Amino acid sequence: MPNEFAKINGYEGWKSKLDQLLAVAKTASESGTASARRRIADRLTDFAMHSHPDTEQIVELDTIALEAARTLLVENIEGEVSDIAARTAELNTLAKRLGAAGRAATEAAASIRLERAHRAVDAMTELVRAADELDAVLTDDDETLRRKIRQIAGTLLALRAEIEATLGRRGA
Amino acid sequence: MRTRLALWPLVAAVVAAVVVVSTGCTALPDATPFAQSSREFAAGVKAAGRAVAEDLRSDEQLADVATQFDRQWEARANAMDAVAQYADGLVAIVRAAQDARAQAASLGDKLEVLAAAAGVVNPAAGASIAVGIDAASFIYGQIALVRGAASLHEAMHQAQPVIDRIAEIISRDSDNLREIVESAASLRRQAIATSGGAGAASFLRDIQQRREQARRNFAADPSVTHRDALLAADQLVTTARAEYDRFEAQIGRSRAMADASLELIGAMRDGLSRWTAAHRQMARALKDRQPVSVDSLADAAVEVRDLVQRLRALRDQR
Repeated sequence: MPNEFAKINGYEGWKSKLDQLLAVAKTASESGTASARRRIADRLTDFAMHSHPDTEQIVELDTIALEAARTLLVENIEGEVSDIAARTAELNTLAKRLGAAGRAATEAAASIRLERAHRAVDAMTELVRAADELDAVLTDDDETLRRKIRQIAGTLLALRAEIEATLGRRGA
Repeated sequence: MRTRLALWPLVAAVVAAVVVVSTGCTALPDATPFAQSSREFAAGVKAAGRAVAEDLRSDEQLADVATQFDRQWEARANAMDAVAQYADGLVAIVRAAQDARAQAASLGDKLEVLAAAAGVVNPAAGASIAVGIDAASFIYGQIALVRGAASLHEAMHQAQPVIDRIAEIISRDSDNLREIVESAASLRRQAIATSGGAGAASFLRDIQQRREQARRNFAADPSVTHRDALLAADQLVTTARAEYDRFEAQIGRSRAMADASLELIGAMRDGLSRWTAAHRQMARALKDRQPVSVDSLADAAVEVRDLVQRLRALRDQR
């Protein structure tokens, strides 16, 4: 398959070609796009893959070409990661805003489902039942009585928390 | 007092009719396609990030860059969690509005249980209370639709600019990811060339040129010497070709790895398009929602009439 290296022969020919590629690489490095830098880096690698014979001088040209290619590619990758990093702070802020919108939506759904009202009624029903049971066990030993009282106290605390939450929401 | 209690279901039914007329009872838009596309999009972003990090780690000298990339992409993964949370919130609103009537009825049942436990209910009033709960649940079902629509509108209105901007950022990120993957693939090819690939290619070309010369010599003078030289050149080409093919196979595997990463980035881009389209569709469906539907009004009227008839029947039984 014909390529830009097919007709090059001898050290001078290869050196001239490398000089030409390095000039393009310099321009790409200074003012080119990432894809332009990658394209010339690929051509420099191609240079090393096509140059021959493997004399000491030509191997030296290969080394220069491959090092230049590597520099361009690492520069490219670091630049792209930096571009991504430059947007991270804004993305964090956007994520917080979207998370807040999600939480607000979940709270709105809970409100529509009457969750607080359900919890308050459950707590009150439990309180009434516990009070009935307390009445029934008054003749039992003290330990059972204490346990029931603790249960009632817990229920009262839950009820208070619900009422406070409701009041707090109204206040807000 | 008993008269007032007995009138409650009728009042409720009338209020229900007013609520229905003033709000309509059309359904809210389906949020599940948006939730589904949000999950796909989130999975795509995370998978693309993992693939690119792996590409970077294929070159030891890029380990620091890979770590830096991981830190940046973690922020994208966190943003995707927020995307999922937001989508789940929208689904929850729609479901809550759809289930509101049942929830209200369930609350009514609980209140009945509470009243019974507290011993404040006249058993004779049970049926009347049940109708009252039905009516109240019906009213609440209508109110919940309006509240659901308002909550959805508010959430989507607040989120729209955020979603637009996230889409823009991820879109630009994907361009960067593509370039990183392509550059990493070029870098692997460069490393293969450095680690012997270039030498193998050069050696193969030299040997091929020598064989060509040996072939020309043998064609001009088919002597034993030229024949042996040609056979030796053929043998050398075979050996050099095997060595070169080993490097070519490495380059092929590297390219396949890059193509797989590019495919994941492409999937992420597709997911992004579907995600933003699903949000736009949902916003449009919410906006185009008919404020008053004749069909739904007719259905609601039938329901109110049934409630009133049930109430009258209860009264007649007394």
